[in-house]
Amino acid sequence: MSEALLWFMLTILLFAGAFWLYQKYPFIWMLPILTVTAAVIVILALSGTSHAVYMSGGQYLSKMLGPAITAFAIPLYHVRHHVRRFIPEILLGVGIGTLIALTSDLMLGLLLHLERTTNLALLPKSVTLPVALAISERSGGTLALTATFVLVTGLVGSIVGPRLMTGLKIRHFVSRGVGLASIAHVMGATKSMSLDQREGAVGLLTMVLTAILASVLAPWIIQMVY
Amino acid sequence: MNPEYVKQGEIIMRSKTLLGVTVILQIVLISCFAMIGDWISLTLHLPLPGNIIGLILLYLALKSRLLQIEHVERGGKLLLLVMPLFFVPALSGIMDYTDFMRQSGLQVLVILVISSLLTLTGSAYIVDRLARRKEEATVHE
Repeated sequence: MSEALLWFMLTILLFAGAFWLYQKYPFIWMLPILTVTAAVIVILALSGTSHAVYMSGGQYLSKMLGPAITAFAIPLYHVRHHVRRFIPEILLGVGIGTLIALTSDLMLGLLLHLERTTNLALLPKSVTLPVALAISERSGGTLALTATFVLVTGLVGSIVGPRLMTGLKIRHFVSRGVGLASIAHVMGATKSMSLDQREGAVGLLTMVLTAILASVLAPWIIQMVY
Repeated sequence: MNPEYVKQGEIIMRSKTLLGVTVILQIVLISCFAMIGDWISLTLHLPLPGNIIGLILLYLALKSRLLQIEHVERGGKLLLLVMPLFFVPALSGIMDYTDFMRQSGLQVLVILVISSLLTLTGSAYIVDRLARRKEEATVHE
């Protein structure tokens, strides 16, 4: 119990420090999510602690992800008037995005001879974590890998995505919100929110719709490809 | 805290303690919505996770004025601000998969990046053209 509390408090302290550092030095590789994760892994490795032991305290932080996702209702409420008129475009974008994500994933996995359980674990990589785990579980993917893939995709997407879209001259807040959240789920929506509140709200809606659509489409696409 | 809260003419918090308690109570309130969502998801066997059902419920509560935005805003903003913290425990789990990463890590990364590029370009490009056309049409009206 005391060890759980130690890891719990340590992570929060590390985050507070990293947050403060990032305000002073706002470089990509100084993002708190990167620095804190790296610090935790180094500390665990050096002290010879397993990740399972760390999770005795870490699980309480993971559980707060639920309320944090629910809290997205607040920014969504603020910008509802900006977003409402673009709902058809958002729906279309989510449909295209989810279809491309799921099919390209399975096809590339087959092409590169990825193991079936790994490929199925990779399939919901652009879906928000709790839903991705549910999809992976139902199709028989490796759950722990799904969590990693989802988070790495979110991380890569939210770092590379905004620059890529600027390079492709994608400037409208609706398309930027849809684009980023269609690959980087809640992490993309959070990133969008920090850039522009309307963009973030679109991202949020995209995240919710992608989660719904992917749960419905995934079993169907797996059956077609495998 | 953001000064815009004070502008909106709500009650100015007298002390930091009171503000802290308010933020915590608001986080508890938001968590209740997430928990109700979990319960609904479990009971009705929905494919949607509880926190997204909670999001929809909280949105509906705000929209129907059942709940004022001031009742959840401070707590919600804090939750969203520190959200990256909640990803750290799961993300650090990657340390248990060093062997896997050495074996197929590169393959997976290649697929992940290519597939993401295709997804982003495909969805954002089409939506961008449509959204801009709609914007122009409204301007010309």
